[in-house]
Amino acid sequence: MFQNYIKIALRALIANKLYALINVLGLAIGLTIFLFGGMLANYEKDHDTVWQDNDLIYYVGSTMSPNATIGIKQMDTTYSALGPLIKEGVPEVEYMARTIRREYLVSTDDNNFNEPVRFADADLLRIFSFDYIEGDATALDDPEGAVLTREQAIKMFGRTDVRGEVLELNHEHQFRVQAVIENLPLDSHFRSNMILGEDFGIYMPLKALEQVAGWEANYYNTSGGNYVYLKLRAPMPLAELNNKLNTVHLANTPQEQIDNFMAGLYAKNIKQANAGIWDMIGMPVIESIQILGLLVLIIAIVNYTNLATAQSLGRTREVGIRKALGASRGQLMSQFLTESLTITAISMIIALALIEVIVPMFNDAMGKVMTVDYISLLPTLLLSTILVGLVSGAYPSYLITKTNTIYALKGTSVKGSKGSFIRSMMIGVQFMLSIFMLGMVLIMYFQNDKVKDSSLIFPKDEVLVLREMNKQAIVDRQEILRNELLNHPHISAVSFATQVPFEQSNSSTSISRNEGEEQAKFQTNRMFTDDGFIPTFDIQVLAGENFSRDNSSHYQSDLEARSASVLINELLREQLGFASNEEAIGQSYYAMPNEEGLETFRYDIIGVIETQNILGLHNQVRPFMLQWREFDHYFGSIRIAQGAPASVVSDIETIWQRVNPDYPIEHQFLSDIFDGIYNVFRTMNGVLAGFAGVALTLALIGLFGLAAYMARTRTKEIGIRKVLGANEAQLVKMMLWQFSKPVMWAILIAIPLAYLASGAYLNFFADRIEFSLQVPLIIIGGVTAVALSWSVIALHALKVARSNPVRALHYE
Amino acid sequence: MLKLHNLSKIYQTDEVETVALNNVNIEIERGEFVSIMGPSGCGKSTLLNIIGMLDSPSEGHYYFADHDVARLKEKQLSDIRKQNIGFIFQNFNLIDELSVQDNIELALLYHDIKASERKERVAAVMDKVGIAHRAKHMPSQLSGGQQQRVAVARAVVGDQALILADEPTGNLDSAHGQEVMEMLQSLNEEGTTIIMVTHSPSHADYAHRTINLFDGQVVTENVHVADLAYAN
Ligand SMILES: Nc1ncnc2c1ncn2[C@@H]1O[C@H](COP(=O)(O)OP(=O)(O)O)[C@@H](O)[C@H]1O
Ligand SMILES: [Mg+2]
Repeated sequence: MFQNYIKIALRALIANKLYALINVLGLAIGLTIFLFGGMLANYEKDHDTVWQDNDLIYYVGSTMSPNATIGIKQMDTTYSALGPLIKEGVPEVEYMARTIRREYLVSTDDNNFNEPVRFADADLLRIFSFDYIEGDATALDDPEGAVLTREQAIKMFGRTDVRGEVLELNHEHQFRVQAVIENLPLDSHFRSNMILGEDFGIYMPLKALEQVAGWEANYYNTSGGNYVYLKLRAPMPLAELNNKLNTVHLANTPQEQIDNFMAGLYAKNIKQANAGIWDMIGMPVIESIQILGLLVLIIAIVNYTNLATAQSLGRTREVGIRKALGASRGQLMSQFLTESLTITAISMIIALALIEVIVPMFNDAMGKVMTVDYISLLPTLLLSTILVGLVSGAYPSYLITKTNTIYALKGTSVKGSKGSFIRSMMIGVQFMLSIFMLGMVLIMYFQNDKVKDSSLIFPKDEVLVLREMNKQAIVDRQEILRNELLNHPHISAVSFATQVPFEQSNSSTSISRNEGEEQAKFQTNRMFTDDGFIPTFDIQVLAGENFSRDNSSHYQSDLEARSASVLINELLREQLGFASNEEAIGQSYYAMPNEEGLETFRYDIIGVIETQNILGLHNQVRPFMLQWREFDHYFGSIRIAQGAPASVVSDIETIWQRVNPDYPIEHQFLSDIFDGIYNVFRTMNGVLAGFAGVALTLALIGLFGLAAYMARTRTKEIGIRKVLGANEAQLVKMMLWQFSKPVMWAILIAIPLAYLASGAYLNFFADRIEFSLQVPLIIIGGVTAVALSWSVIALHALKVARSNPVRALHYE
Repeated sequence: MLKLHNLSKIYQTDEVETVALNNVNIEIERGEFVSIMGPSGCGKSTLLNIIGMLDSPSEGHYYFADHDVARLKEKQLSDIRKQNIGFIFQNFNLIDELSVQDNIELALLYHDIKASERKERVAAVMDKVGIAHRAKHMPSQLSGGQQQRVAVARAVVGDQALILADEPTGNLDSAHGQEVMEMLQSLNEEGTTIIMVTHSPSHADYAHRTINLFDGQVVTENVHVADLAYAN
């Protein structure tokens, strides 16, 4: 019996090739995207499973206090200082390891490299079951030990048997290679995490950092990627673990920090470390991918249902005959469901073939190691095939088998208005989703454009940024470098700073307008730089003046004085309560002392600058202050005059070589820094555009099929109307309208949805596109969808309206 | 009212060339009731389609009232058609999705008539053909005879002067056929010109004259004795 059904199903498919093709392709595309989205989400969420006992490995994150104005609600790091306290206070924790990353000049006998180094407590090697080529998990117990990955060893020594070799940091501190481990797996957060960023090949003991960098004071730093890892002795409920972490936190962290910055702690299993960044910035990217995949699948299912319903109306006679011959309704339902299951199964096979093509391409492009594991996928595949097959076939088979036998035999089923209502609704759903996505794509596109435009406030292409400037030897020769550079005829300004535009930094401090006003204090971002920053980045001074070398009070050489000259941005000026920029000049504001026994610190405003977003364009604009102060600046910025010859970069390299012969230069144009960040958003937009494109294409294909079908079944009616005097224009209008109504409804529903969703997205940006652009963009998305659907329908409508009615009327 | 002069229709298909009408000359006066008879495939429907301006002749002239039909544009044709001509088909050609009432109203939809007047006229014509009690029914719920009555109502609701009926009784039993014929006759008595294709000699007798077609040619025309009075 079942075999018979499948045979009928295949025959029906062959008989209606166009519909079969549309159905199979539509479902295949929907399934591909759905499966791929699911696989990607699983891959991203289910990282770090290679480690032994990975279910016992956690990292500690923090929830931010509502008073913390750093723009995020949680972060995947916490004060490193809490690590040992947690180990002590939570007996269930077997091992704890803090990690801190820094970049150093790492030298072997023959070569110098600027390398990121991860400093970690020795137990890191007991938490993660690395794969040792040389040495073992005790490697970091040696306070001057180092662990290299295979790749790193080969990069620096050309071989892996390097145990005992010496590495020098900044030409000052010596370390011995104690172990070499296999390259870290791509599907672990060590390699894929976006905050951790660089690929770390060198591990050194955290204790050593204290000597190398005097790190002790900085255990309250919470930079991204500086994980605090825990390994439990035995599984325990997460809530209980979190409680214990918070007990430690509350007992050890000053109340003021809890109130204003780090409100609480949480533990997350190591599997979640990879996707943590999205949780942190609150963009549910992975969930969105999954949801989009599901939406596309729904569109494909609706497509199928729609076409199958339309087509089944043409088969009422077949059903009538079968019923007359004694087929029960159940048998007929089974027959039609078998048909949809067959189509789904064929689509699934095509989808899997597509997945096999896409996954390797994706892995190549994105540096991932996703695999198609059929054994673990099997339940999903079976379940989704059956579910999709049943869901998409349910309505058409219900509708057609319901038809009264007599009517069915006459071939004039009572195609009530109800059937067409459900069909309209399905078209509506498809277009709603398409319009929604299209609107989002447009908005993201224009927002990205806006970000790009906004980035023009800085002379991106004329600023060469130097990195890794915070090494003592380089800092010592900073002035020599500045003077040599400024001597070059095409270099107009040089600046050293803790930050450059577009580089995210959350360095902030707590200030108040009047001295001792504990209650009224608020957070402002702060950076240390010099008098070159303003001219280098073309920042406009709206009132007052830039720091000047002629005025010794502008430069703060020590902290003893307890006062400093500052430039503030307009936003900070407003928040401080000055009515105008001019009024603020010469005024002061204050910071509480951060240590007992110190006096209040006073800031004297010498200038007000524009409220440009130096923090990166994907952040909110924040109050901001610039201070000219001696500091181990990480960045150097060189302003190259417009129209300078290309050779200026090699001139800069030569100058560097002369001044700092022991250190390689690390430079990058500001525009490249920007592009690096911008590309993340562009990629996201591209991915969504892909989804939206597929969704809209599916919806249009479905509409095309439906219009073709409707046009065919309505030839008689069109003929009658024509005979009764309808002209072509009236007929085309009628057919367009029939399909337009659901599309209009779709617009009405999609627009507010897209408005809300895009609003959430736009809130991530400092300089977001205006409301007056946001709404029209969504409407354009809707209008585009309508225009496309009209052209698809008009194609058929015109053909039918033009055809001679005679045949349809006489030879039906 | 209309005049066909040396009119021919040739269907060109892939292999064969079918001469559906061959040099036909026919003149029909206002108020006439004409029946067309002949074996299957002799060109009756083709003739009716050309008269109804649904199809165009390959050769010859067709004059409708004062118009040389060949010179008219599609838009003018459709205007003349909807003002003057009503159609009745063997297979009724009602729209399955529309109720009786809506099917009839359809014929007024493409005229410039207000909705309220449309309703009145539809109600009146439904009374006339005796289908008013079925106004809200769907075609599939009616018998063939009832469906054809709806079709007749639709053909005349726009006050058409000419009705073209292609085997209107072909799908009906004799009682219902009789009913439809009587309806056509009374319409004719009210002044409507009727041209009807039929296979039934007794139904042909309702007409004033019969045109016999064979292989696309007019073979004989006989005037019914009973109607000689009219011929004068
Ligand atoms: N659209 C057409 N294409 C080709 N041949 C046609 C077409 N319509 C009718 N014919 C042919 O023309 C001839 C006359 O057909 P028709 O007028 O329908 O005959 P009748 O109505 O007298 O049965 C037939 O041989 C028929 O096959
Ligand atoms: Mg015929």
